[in-house]
Amino acid sequence: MRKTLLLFAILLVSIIVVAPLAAQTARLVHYQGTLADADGNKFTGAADLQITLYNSPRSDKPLWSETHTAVDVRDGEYSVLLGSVTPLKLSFYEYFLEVKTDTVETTPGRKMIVGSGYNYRLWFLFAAYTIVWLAIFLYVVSISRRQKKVISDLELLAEATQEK
Amino acid sequence: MDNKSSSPWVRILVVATLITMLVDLYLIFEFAPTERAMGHVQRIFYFHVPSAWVAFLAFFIVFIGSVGYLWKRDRKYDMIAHSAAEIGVLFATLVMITGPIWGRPVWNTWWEWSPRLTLFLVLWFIYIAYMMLRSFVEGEERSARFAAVFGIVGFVDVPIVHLSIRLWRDIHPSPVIAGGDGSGLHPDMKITFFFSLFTFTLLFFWLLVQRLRLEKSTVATSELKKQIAY
Repeated sequence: MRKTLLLFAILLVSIIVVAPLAAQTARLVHYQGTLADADGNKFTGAADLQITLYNSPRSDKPLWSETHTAVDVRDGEYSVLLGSVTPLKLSFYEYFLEVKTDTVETTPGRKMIVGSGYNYRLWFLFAAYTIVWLAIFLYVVSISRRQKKVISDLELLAEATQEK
Repeated sequence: MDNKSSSPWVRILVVATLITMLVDLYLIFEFAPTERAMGHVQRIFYFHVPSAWVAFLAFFIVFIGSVGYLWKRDRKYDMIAHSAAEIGVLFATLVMITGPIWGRPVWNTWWEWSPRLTLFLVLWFIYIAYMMLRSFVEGEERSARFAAVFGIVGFVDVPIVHLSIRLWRDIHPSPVIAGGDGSGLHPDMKITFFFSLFTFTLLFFWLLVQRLRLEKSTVATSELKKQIAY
């Protein structure tokens, strides 16, 4: 039983080791976009960008949104870190991203982005790791229980033999 | 499961297993570098592959035990085969669970009917069937004999599973060790990987010792019951 408890302790330690790793991971997704007016002319200058994520191209319920002010745009190109203003706590893979700005009159539209921010994937690691050690721990407990049952049967049989 | 009745070798094995498990934890989560394309999820590799290795090792021991039983008709070979099969099924199940957990974020799918995955599923079914056969067939000698034949025939799938990613195109990653051009691991990843293999092997032998002890007690109980019945 002592060994079982020790294994249990290892399991707990392992979870404690991994959980902070998951918590400390910055949930940031690097996004590069282009900004052009309705005629397709590339914009250069500073722009305020409101970035919103939806779960479908036509959904009117935003999942997450943040505003980046005075973003440097050169020849229509800019880059922002999603999650740097408002914490990003989404945990699935496909989103539809919409960028709105008052600086330039743009063509409205949403772009599908895939959750390539692999920091989200840490939870898969955590799940797999926990399952492995939990299964091994439960197996050790199962052997221990079966062993106890057999020993108790043996003792009963020994008593029965003595009575005979 | 009691330490008092363990031999010094078993006690050494227990201590070595626990120490290596802790060191392995450090190597997997701190020492090994984060893989560039997959990120942290790649660390599943350090217990997915060793679980597969332990399952193969266990099924190899089932094969050896089965051959030994049919040859010598000694019950101890059957006990070894039975114990190894149970542990093999446990680790094969872990492979079946950790694989899809890795596959979902990396391949964007939980499962593909690719040769490697399908053949491993078949392997898992074979040894589930082996365990079921042992509990359904009546008569200890008969059950052991049938199981031994099944244990030998079932092992045929192991080398096929191992070679499948070299023989056919597959979604499963190609071998990173001895996989030819373009394969290979970062030196720190290699250290972590081989240490994980070592840790899981120790863990397997410790579990095998515990399971064998249970098997021996079960057989002793069953023989005592027979004696009392006569």
